[in-house]
Order: sequence, then C-alpha cells, then structure tokens
Amino acid sequence: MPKEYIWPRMRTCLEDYYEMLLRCNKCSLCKHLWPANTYSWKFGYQCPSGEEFIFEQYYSTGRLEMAIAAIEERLDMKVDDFLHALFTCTACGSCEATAEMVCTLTPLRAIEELKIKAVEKGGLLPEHAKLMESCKVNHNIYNQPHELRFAWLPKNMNVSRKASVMYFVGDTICYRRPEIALATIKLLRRLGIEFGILGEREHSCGEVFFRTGNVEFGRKLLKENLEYLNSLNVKTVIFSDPHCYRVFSEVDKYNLNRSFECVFISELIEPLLQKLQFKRLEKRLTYHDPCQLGRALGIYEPPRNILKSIPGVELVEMPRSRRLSFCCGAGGGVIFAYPEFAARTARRRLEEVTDVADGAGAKTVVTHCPLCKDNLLRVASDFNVEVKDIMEVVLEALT
Amino acid sequence: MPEMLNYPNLVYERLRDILGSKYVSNTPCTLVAYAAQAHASLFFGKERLSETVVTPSTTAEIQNIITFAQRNKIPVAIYSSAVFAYWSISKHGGIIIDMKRMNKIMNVDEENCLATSQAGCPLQRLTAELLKKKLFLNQGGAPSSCLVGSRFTYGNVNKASGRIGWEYRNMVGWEMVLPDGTILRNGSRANAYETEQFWAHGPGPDLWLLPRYAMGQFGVVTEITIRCHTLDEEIKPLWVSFNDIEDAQNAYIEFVHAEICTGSSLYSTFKTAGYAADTTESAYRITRMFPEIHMVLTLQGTSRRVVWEEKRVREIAKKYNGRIITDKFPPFQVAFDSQLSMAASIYSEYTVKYFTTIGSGGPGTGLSIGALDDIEAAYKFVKRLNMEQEWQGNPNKGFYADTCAPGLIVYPSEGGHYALIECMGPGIDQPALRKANSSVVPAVFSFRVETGLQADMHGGQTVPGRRDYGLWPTYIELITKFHEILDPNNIMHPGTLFPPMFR
Repeated sequence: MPKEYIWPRMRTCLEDYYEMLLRCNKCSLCKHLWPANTYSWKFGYQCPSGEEFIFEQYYSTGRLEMAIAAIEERLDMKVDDFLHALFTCTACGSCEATAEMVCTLTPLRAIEELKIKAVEKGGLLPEHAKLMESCKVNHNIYNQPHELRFAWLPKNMNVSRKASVMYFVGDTICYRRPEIALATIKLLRRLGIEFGILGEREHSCGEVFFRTGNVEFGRKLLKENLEYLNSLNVKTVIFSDPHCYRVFSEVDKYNLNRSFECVFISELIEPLLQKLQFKRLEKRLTYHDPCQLGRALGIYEPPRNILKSIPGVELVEMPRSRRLSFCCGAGGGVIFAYPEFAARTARRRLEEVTDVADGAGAKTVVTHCPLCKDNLLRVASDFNVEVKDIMEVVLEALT
Repeated sequence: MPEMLNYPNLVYERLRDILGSKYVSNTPCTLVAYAAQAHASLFFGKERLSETVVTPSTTAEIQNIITFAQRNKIPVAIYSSAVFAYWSISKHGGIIIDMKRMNKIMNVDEENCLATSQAGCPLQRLTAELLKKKLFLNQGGAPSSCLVGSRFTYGNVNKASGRIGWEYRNMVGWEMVLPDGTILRNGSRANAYETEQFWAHGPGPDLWLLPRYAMGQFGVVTEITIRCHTLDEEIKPLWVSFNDIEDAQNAYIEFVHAEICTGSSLYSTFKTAGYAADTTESAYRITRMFPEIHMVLTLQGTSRRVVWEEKRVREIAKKYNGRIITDKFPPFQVAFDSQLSMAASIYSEYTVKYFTTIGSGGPGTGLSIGALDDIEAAYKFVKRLNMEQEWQGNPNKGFYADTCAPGLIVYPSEGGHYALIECMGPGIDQPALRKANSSVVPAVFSFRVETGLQADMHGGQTVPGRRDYGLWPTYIELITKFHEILDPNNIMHPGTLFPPMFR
C-alpha cells in the first residue's frame, strides 16, 4: 500500500512513487513544447502515443493516474486496454524532460515501474514473451539462429576474439543493420585502434526487457555478458548501439559489477577527428537524436561535431532536436508489439525531416541508433528520404 | 485504439456512430485517466469516474453529442487541459467531451490583429503561430498547455478577470453549442454577412456573457476569435535575484519610478521552490541553493530602448545588491515560457497590472492585498493564514520555524499604489494538502470576498446552501432562469453550479 515520501534516488518500486504520482497537477506541459521552442504548430507535440491515440491514458498524465489506481488496486492490470495504454509508451522520456524541470516529477521512471508491476501481475505481452523465448534459445531477440550472429562479417576481415578493447555489436546491428557494424569496424581500423569482438559469446544485452518491465530476465542476460567480459580482463568496451551502451552503463542500478570502461563510438571518435582525412561530401543532412542516446545518456554534441567536421556537409536542425527531440517510435519494445504504431510515429518524424530548412527539407536523415534507423527506413521510401547511421556517413566521407 | 478494447453499451454504440470508434472510449483505463485533474484532488478529495469519453473534432460532432445527451438525459462534462478550469471532470458520470482534437487554427488576421481558432487549441500552438507574426495573446499566467477556449471564456480566478473581464474582453466573437444542440454565434461572429470581426458586442442585449465562468454548464464553446496584440521590435526577459526583501522592494520601486520594464513580478524563492520542489526538504534545499528573492522583468520596445532598459536594470540591480541570473538554472525555461505569454501581456500597458491566483503547483498558498507601503500588514495576515493552520504545525516550532520562513510574491497594481501579496509556504505533501483545503481554501476565499478581490466564494461558482455568499441575488435568479430555459434536464456539468435534477 501507499508509502510515505521516498527520496527520489531511493525509489525502487512503484509504491515508492505514490507520493510523487499524486503531485502531478495535470498542467499538461509534458505534452507540448514551449511556445518559444515551437517552430510550427505541426511539430509542437511531444508524446508519440498521446498524439496517436489521443485519450489521456496514452499521455504520461493519464498513465500516472493508472499507476495510482494500480497501487490502490482499483484497476485490473491484465486486461487489454490497460496493457495497450501502458506498452504503447515508447519510453522516449520527453515527458520526463519537461516534468522533471517544471515540478521534479519523473513520469517515465514511474511508468517503467508500472510496466514491471504489470509484468509481475501476469501482464507480459505475447509479443514481448516471444522475445524472451527467442533469447532463451537463440541468445537474440530477433529469433534468428545464433550462429548467424556474425554472418555479415566478411571472411577476409579478421577480427580478434580477445583484446583489451572489445566492440560489443548488439542484436539489432547484428541481425537488422550489419552495415553499421561494418562501417564501425572499418573506421576503428582506420583510426588504428586495435579491438576485438565477442563472436559467438556475445548474447543479447537485454535492454528491451528492461524497457518492457521484464527486468529479471534482462538482468540475467546482462549478467551473462558481464561475467564473460569481466573474465576476459577487458579494459574498454566500445558500443555503437545506444541501447546496449545504456544497460552496460547502468549496471550499478541492477546490482551488477563491471570491471571495464564503456565508451560510445561517437565519443571515442570525436577527439580523434584530426586523424581522419575527409573528402568533400555535398549533402544537406539533419540529425535525429535517438532517445536512448540523447535524453537518457545526454550525448547530443559529439555526433553533431563529427558531422560538422565533414567538408561540404550542411547540418540543419529539425524543429525538435536535442532534449526536445521527437521519438522515432520504435523504443520501449513498441516496434515488436505495435509495429504499425511504430511506423506511423516514424512517419511523423520524417514529415519533420522534409520540413527542415524553412520547408526546403533534408534528403538525408542521420541517426546514431540501429533501431531508429530500422524503424525510419520502413517508411522512408514514401518520403524520398535517405536514412543513414552516422558511422556510414563518416565512412562515406573518408578518402 | 482498437475497437475490441472498448466495452459496448448503448451509449457507447451511439457515440461511436457519431464519431467513429477511434474517438470514443469507455475502458476502465480511460475512465481512470479522466477522473483526475488539478483541482479535483483539492475539492473532491477523490476521483469521480465518467462513463464514456469522446474526442470530437468539429462543431457538428459536438452538436450531435449534445443533442443525443439531452434526448437521453445523460450528463456531459467538458475536459480541457485539466488545469485552470475547475471541475472539468465529471461529477455525476455520463459523457466527457475531451477537446483535444478541436485544436485547429482557423485564421490569423495579421492586419486586424485577430486570431480565430477552435476552442481546444492549446495556447502553445496559437502563441507559436502568432509569434512568427510578432503578435501575442493577452492572457494571464497560464501554462502554455491551457486551451484557448477554456482560458478565455473562463479566465483565471482573479480580480482582473473576475471583475472586469480582462481575458474575456480579449474575445471578439465565439461560437457555442447550447445544451439543446443549437449553435449560437455571438459578438462579431453573429453577423453572418460580415467577414471582418472587430467588436465583442452587437447592437442590443445579447448572450455575450453566457459562457463566462460557466464551465460548460451553458453549452460548449467550440470556436473563438481573439484579439491579438503586437509585440515590440524586441522583447527580452531578465531575471534578477536579491538576498533581501528590502533590497528587492526598493529596487522594484525604482524600476517603477524609472518607468522601465513592461512586465515585472517579484517572486520569493518559495515560488520557485513551490513549482520545483517535491517535498518540504527539497524546498529547503532549493531555498538554500537559489537566491532568496527573484524578480522577473520583461524589457520591451525598440532595440535601442531594450538596450537602454537593460543598462538601467543592471545599474539599479547592482545598487541594491541584485544579481542578473537569467538562464543560469534550468527552471528558468519555465519562467521564460510564462514571461513570453504572461509578462508581455499581463503587465503590459494593454492590461491592468495586478493579478491573483491560488497556486495550483502544490504548496499551500495565502493571498492578500495591501498598499505597497504597507506590505508588512498584509504579509502578517497571509503568514498567519498560511502558517498557523493545524496541518502545517506551529510555525514557531520545529522545521518550519527553523528553516522555512514563508515567501512573498508582490504584484503591484498600476502606478504602484496597491500590491497583491501571495504567500507561499514550502512544498507540502499532497494528501496533507487535500485535508488542509477544507480549512485553507474557504479562509482564503472569505478574505478575498470580504476585501472585494473576488465576487464570490467559488470563483464565480456557488453551491447549494452558499448561494447567498458573494453573489448578488438578482444574478442568481437571472442565471437560474437562463439555465432552466436552456438546459431543462440539467445535463451540462450537473452538480457544479446547479445541483443535478435527476438520478
């Protein structure tokens, strides 16, 4: 039952948020941008699920009321409408970016606790259960054979399996967007960085399970990877998937130990840019901030600085960028459970891409997340827009 | 939302026929999500569930919904942005009309400084469009998420709005669906053949004031035409902090005498703490971290004037040990938002310069009014009101006495002869606030009614047994008669002004 006030950092379960949930005064500032930041009314909204499904339970304001009702045991957490309202949250954190600033509320954290509680009560979505089953058998969420994890790696490209610096590739890149890994590997070699990959010992990082309330299973997967990496006496692990990077960066939160340093690829490359020789690349680009990299981890500038360093590149910002970036629609396990909704959100984002530069639009949208790229690519042909990962752009610009 | 998730019943099915299944919901989650609102917890103490929620997008759809509800005697409540519009949630079940999809901007007439939009358009959306044309809306201190319909027809619970219709007067026309389904257009919009809209009043008596403070009880406002005002060549907010209230007051008086800053307000730290803190302890931390008194100033005019005003502000601030802290802390984004919408209008030459509100941000609040040179007397009153309630404990003992002296917000009136003083205590826990409101809110209202700050005890509302308090009897009789004619079944938001006649 409801507890007294719990210090924000000490909140560990949904009940700890009860006092905070009551403090949401429904000002609705989490739904929109501020007027001064609103370039156009068309791009003034922030919540992907709220914009799609309209009703209050699809905004954080309504979800917090659902959380109160769940704590007070007034709502059945297994029924479809509850699960639909809850798991259509893309965990993008745009509501939290405003609510935390305005009135120290952390709606996303409360919503994630609500997801955990829903799963505990038997509300695991069948689509998310399939991801779990796939991981048990194939060690990846895409239900692909484990032996194909590195099938994209050319046979003539020898990469060590043991080194002090390792590159953790991740499920989405391995099975959906291997071109990102190939570009990353080529770039690391060009920079003279010696590194290895885990090969068949690399398993799913479990991030999607942390976002979909199945924390225990996610923790199990993360622990397996950590134990192996710790046993290799690795000093540094490089990531090019922000989802993987986030869970490895937050191991303390899950009571796990890590004996190595985590580095995200753009943060690694940014200080080494002078080592790279770029040719001129005549392109007007816009950069889409992945939610997990931007709002969750605070990495906004390194990717932009890399793009700006390429001669000929015109980087134009979308109306919603950096902390106010709009979600691509894939996060929070939404792309697996509600792919149509994820695609519609991607459309909304690409509409913005075609509207930048005072309506002139950008022909290329660059992102830094394989899941964002995968989701945006599903609808990109309708907008005649090219979707690229930043590693691919850098590789293209190299002489 | 998939149709399978809804629970069919006759009302749901009929509404689905009107709107389509995507825009009607009666699932338990929907009803829970629409059961709470900023003031609901303060006044009700518990949630009230509706039975169906609809999200129409046109006047015709609202007309059909109201006609259906009237025919079947189903209560209807209008849900706007759930803030600054009391009781926008259902008190007696029935249908909630969520205005989110009524958000289109119909026209911005730059030449005549007029904007027409649907009532569900957020201030943010309209303001963003107007700013592109160097125009702004003249409205009080509302979050930019408020909807224009509720904001301008209801206004804020303050003297400027309640007494002289400061916000209401910025409308020149509205369209409304009456409780019987009739569409009424008023003001300039009443003239179907006149394309240009300038005047709020047509010839002879009309129903211009019908939606005012009505909270949907006389129908649903669907479209409004609002006057806009031109922004100067340049506008710039400045935030000055002082460690001493005396310094802040002296600086403020000097700003007034120098006739600089079109917008200005003086906030105690607790104002910021009230918005930003989640508990008494965190309010205390913010208080320690932030400067004690904040002054939010808006400089407006030609570029040269703004440069000169900024120079003067810096000189005066320095003289009284003030520090310019604009953009130093993240919460100032909030200030910038409010300054843009509020300071440019509320404190500008277009409007009166006083403003009152009951803080909805969480903390307990006291309000008073007094001459600027007699702040101390008013301050004592609000301090007593705010700090000597049982629920906050004895102010002379313990945590409050040691750490949290109440703060002040001073709103000077035009010419600086009068000031409204808002006293905010530290952040408190919401359950305690709920309990406290039974004593604090009536005390605040009583004082404001007695001092002429407010017309009645409930911001233009009254409840059975209290009808004689603050409202003139003729007004009650008149409005009751109107209501009986327009809404014989009392379906429109029953239980707020008029008690339910059925069930």
